[in-house]
Amino acid sequence: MPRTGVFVCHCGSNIAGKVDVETVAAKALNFDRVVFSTTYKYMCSQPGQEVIKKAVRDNNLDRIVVAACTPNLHGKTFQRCIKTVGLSPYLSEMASIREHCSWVHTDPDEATGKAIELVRLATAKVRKNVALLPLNIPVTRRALVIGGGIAGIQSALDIAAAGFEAVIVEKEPSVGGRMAQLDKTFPTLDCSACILAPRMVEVATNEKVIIHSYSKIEKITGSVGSFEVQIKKKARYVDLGKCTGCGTCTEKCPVKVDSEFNLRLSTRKAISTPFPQAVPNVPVIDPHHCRYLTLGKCGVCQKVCQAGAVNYEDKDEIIIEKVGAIIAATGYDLFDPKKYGEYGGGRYRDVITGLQFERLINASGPTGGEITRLSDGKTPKTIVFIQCVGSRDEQKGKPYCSKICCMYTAKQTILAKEHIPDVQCYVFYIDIRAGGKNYEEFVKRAQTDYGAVYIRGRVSKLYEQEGQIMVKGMDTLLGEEVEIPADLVVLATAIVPRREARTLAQKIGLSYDQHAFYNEAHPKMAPVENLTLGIYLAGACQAPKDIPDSVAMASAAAAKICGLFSRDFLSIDPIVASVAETCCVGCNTCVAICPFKAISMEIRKDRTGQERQVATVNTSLCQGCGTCLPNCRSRCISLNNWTTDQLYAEVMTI
Amino acid sequence: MSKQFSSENIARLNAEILVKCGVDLKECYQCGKCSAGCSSNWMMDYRPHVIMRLAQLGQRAAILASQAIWVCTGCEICSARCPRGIDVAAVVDSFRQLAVAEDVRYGEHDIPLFHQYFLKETRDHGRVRELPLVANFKIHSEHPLSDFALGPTLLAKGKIKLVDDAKGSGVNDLQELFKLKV
Amino acid sequence: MEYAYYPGCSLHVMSSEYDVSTRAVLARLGVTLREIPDWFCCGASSAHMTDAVLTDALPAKNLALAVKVNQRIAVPCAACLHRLKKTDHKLKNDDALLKNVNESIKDNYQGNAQIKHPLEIIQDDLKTEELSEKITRPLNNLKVACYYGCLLVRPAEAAIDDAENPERLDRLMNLLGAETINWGFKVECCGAGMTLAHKESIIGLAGRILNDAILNEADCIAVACPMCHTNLDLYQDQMDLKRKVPILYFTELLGLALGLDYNSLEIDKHIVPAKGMLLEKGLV
Repeated sequence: MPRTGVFVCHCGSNIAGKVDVETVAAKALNFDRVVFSTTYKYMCSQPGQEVIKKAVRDNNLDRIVVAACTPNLHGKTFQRCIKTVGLSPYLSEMASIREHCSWVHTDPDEATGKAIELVRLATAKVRKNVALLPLNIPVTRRALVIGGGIAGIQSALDIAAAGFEAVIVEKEPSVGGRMAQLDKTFPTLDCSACILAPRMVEVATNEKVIIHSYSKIEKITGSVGSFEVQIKKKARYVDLGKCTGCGTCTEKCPVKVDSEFNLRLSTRKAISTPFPQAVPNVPVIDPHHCRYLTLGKCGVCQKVCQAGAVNYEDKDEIIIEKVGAIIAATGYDLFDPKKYGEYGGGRYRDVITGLQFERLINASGPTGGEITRLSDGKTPKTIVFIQCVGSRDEQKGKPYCSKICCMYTAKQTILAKEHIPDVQCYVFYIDIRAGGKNYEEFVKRAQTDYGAVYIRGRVSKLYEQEGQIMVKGMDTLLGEEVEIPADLVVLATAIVPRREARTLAQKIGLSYDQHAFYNEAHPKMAPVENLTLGIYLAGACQAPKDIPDSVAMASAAAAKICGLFSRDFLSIDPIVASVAETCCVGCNTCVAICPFKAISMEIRKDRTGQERQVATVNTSLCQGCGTCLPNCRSRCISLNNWTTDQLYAEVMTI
Repeated sequence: MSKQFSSENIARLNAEILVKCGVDLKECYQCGKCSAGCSSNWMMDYRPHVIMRLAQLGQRAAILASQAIWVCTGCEICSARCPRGIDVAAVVDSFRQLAVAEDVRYGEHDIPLFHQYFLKETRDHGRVRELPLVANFKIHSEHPLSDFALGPTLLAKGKIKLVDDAKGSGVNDLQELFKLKV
Repeated sequence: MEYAYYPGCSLHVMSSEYDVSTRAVLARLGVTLREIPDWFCCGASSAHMTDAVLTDALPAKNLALAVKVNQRIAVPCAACLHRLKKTDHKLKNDDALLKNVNESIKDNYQGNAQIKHPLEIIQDDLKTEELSEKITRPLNNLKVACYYGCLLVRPAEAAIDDAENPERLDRLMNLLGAETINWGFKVECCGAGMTLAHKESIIGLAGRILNDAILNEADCIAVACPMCHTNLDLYQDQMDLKRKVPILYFTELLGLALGLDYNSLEIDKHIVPAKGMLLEKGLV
């Protein structure tokens, strides 16, 4: 005969301020099978848990109901608590009298009445709870890392350092990501490529890391511990094994195309590597522009290749990788300033983006590191930087702050001054956000040591006049408008998720926010986990982020995965569906409806030897969502500890 | 002298503007883009973002007495470019309307006067006749004689007519809506 | 194709050449205009700047009168167009306001007007080929600065083109054979209704616009609004300009291209004479 104890939490004044907790506890004693009840100020606290443990021991309780917050918050706390006194964790229930009651109701009497009912339901359900045993599922101890930028590289290296394999899937021909496009980094002015390249080489040579470059995620199935990943390796037309990276093919190729890596500030060849330090240092042929692949003529690259690596017959290839966990490290794109008609809408050649400025100032960039105007090749003497283009703009852009623009703009004014000693930089800003180690000091240096003039106010309009870009802005501190004839204007455009972020998320079941940034499981307590178990986040795919934050997040995600990989089996909650095979009619409805593809049909022989098909649940895939239950025609599926019988019991007590 | 803020004035003016033109003044974060693009900023005692700031802080009297609200041409470039989607021009219209309704001492002489004589033409004839409008307005303005010399040219070019019997009779139904001081 | 026609006060006397040329080119292109008999002033800037009730009442009453002639209404004045469209947009989206306004104007407007600028009629209702077939005197060698001003492009609900880089006028001028300049003052304000009330505004604002057109070597400025025309045309004598720039209504340039008689377009009514320049370009 079950002996249930009820524990009503005050949660300070969160609950007790509205609900008469003493009455709730007193009423609970009248409920079926309830032999004990009490209240406590903070049930989740150490002394609160001691109250529960003592009551279980003293009263020989075998079921508990905690009336407090939601099971999402403290369900595990109380499960662990009763486990220490020998009770199965699954013989506990929570009645949410805070979120579902005291926080949302105004009338104390009504709130108390509802709290009593919620406790009554929970006691009815817990009576029929079964002492389930946790499920152990095998863990494939390899990780998939989507994206080969600095975040992806860092997490792959950390996972490899712990002895596990990491598989990087990078859509570009080379790993390196955005960091490879940057010139110097704030606030130390380290050369970006110089600090990135060693990591790229390390990741390329690490035997625990597999890199699939120029590849895309096609499909991911499975769940934590055992994902199956379909990867499409795009035809490269150059054999990764044979190519020596000599570069002769690129040199001889006659076709020039706008360079994506240089943001269309220069051209590349139809067979090319994106940048000198590329990993792998093997070119790809662009099939849309290659003369041989489009017209069947040319073939120069194949002729000049000593290694015989060029293969025009190359085809896209599908690879399957099995992994136990996934890191999404897909990075960011930049907001397209074309939306700003008042800034020229892309019509003015001497109005460029911050990332284009990085390429312009980079020694391996389109001008060999000379800052020149795209219109006439002249060296600019006045450069105006405009911050928050697309950021903090609910009308044309995004409502959020892109976080890194204040810092990289300060950096760019410093670099401009170093390249052109007599340049004058102006920065239009709304607020300077320089929170970070040595960041504020860095911005100060831009102003004091490098003479950048900071003007507080947004720019309203840019227009061309006599070969210059006229900048019409406001100095809100002065209270007057300013007009600056600029030779070059640099727009600090907002950070947005990668264009493909949404489609990728839908493919792998990642949750994302309204901007398509990937959601962390909890903004404070689980910042690198996604809500989908086994998927972790690193870098700017979660929110705008600078390099140190991305690297830290990558290491954190890797640590989470190493923890997951530290055991052969993963212990998960046994709240999964199960099928009573004897009454299953094999109608297939549940198979079609399961969002996690956890149910399949199997053949069973009955006593007469006749074969029939019945549904079976793969418990490692089942997330316990319960979708199959109401759709089962023969009512033969049930969810552990959420059986139809239990739900009836709850309803019948009302 | 330092400005006097009062929570009551702040709340009252915020509510008043919200009702009058649907703008929530608290949306403004003082980026200054409205002022930067404003056609008439160079003539204003308070730039548009300062008007917004004063309004946020409940400084009603200062705005109603300002000259800025009158030199605003109503070009709406401020509203078109506001990153917070605030219809700044509608806020300025609201303050002008309040200034007229409450008969405050305007911060600008000629412009509000012109509006009165313009609407008088509308009320009385349905269509605005240039010559009577110019004559009435100039007589009462601070610069009665400016551009007097343009008159003959305009007459010769047919830009103004000595006798204009225009009548837009559609306005007859609307007579009681006009609350003019002239 | 038939439209109710709302000329507005400016086109009545001050800018009657815009009225004449609008009627002439639309007639030539097969568009019939029927003037609303009892139309009256839309209130222009003066109403919305001083009186919340008049702001919507004046345009609403005119719309009510207009739809009795035709639901499709042609409005050549950018200021009238702006006022009528803004009020119409409000009335179309707010039943309570519509009811209220109808009571005060003693009429029953249903929110059923379609308000168009002649530029839209020419470009959207007519086929481009039909128009180009009718061009008998292409505007070759003419360099035009197309000026849109404020009220044709702002706000979105009243606009006929992009707010920052409108191209309608440029497209039409290019079709007529003229070259158009890329300049930064297409949508800057010329001073609007301040012509008489505050000349200082006009001298400053229109002066900047004219200067940039001169810098870009424009032969003339094409406009689609009588107030823009007046502000740019009237005070050039009093401005610090390198040279004078003729200001022409787009309908006048279109009329010339369509082979209409120079005198019938009343171009000589402008303060800054255009005839010399047009003669030089072989357009008269």
